[in-house]
Amino acid sequence: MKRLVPYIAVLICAGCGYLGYLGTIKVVYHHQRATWFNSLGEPDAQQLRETGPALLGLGLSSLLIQNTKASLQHNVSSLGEIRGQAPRDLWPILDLRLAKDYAVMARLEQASDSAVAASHRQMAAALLNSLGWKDVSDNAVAAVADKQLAARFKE
Amino acid sequence: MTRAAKTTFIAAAAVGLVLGGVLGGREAAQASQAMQSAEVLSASSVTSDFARQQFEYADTDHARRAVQLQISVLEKLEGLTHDRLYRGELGYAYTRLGMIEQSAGQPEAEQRAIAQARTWFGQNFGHEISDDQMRTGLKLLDQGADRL
Repeated sequence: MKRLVPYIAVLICAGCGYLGYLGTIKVVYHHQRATWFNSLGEPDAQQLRETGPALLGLGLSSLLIQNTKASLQHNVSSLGEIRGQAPRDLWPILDLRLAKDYAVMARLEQASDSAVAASHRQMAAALLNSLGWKDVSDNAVAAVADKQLAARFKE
Repeated sequence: MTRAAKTTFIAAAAVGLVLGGVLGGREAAQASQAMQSAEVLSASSVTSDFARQQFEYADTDHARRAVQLQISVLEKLEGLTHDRLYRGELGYAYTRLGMIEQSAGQPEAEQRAIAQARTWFGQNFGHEISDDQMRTGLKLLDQGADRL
């Protein structure tokens, strides 16, 4: 037993170090995050802290190339999660992105499953209509999809 | 277990916790700074992009709300960073609001927005720019963004 003591001590040191590292990261990060933008005064700082994660999530999702049904479906569900946690005034921004994803999904499904394509086209049109878009016809939704696909292939 | 072994283990745990805590604290501070910068950058670009698209495709009411959201975010970011970049962006956002009010047939609101745009551009460039220069600049920016 006596010979094992240094080895056990090293293991304890490493284990506690790892736990201390993880715990401190979590506590310090959350504490610092709660003080972000404080120079603006509490209501404005709080508002920026609430909008930040949703806008960052949306910004990052726009950087990814999504041009397959599976990747679009995944993006739609992650946008749904972001929308669920985002302040209400950001919903239109997320809805526009969702509308574009549904439009592209409709475009990609057109050849294989016209019923699903039509349903996605309708969802895109309904979202665009809620955003006050003047033209939400099938042609307009198809143009949105084409523009999105062209931009993504350009990337 | 002997008393010496117990003491060694407690000391090892304490050293581990302190070292892990110090490393974790430094890591968290860096992560916090990086995330804050990323959120600031994306807040400005995402709201600007949304306002541009709503201006192009939506009715005046929805376009107005989009640009007001952009302005509210940009004013906070300008107040936070005092960065010239945001003053220029605010100038263009108010120019867009002026154009929306013009197409909504609200000349007084249009003039208020254009006056705000002039103020922000004045603070950014250090001299006044004409209404035409503001509108042309905004159109060029929109065309550039559209091509991306």
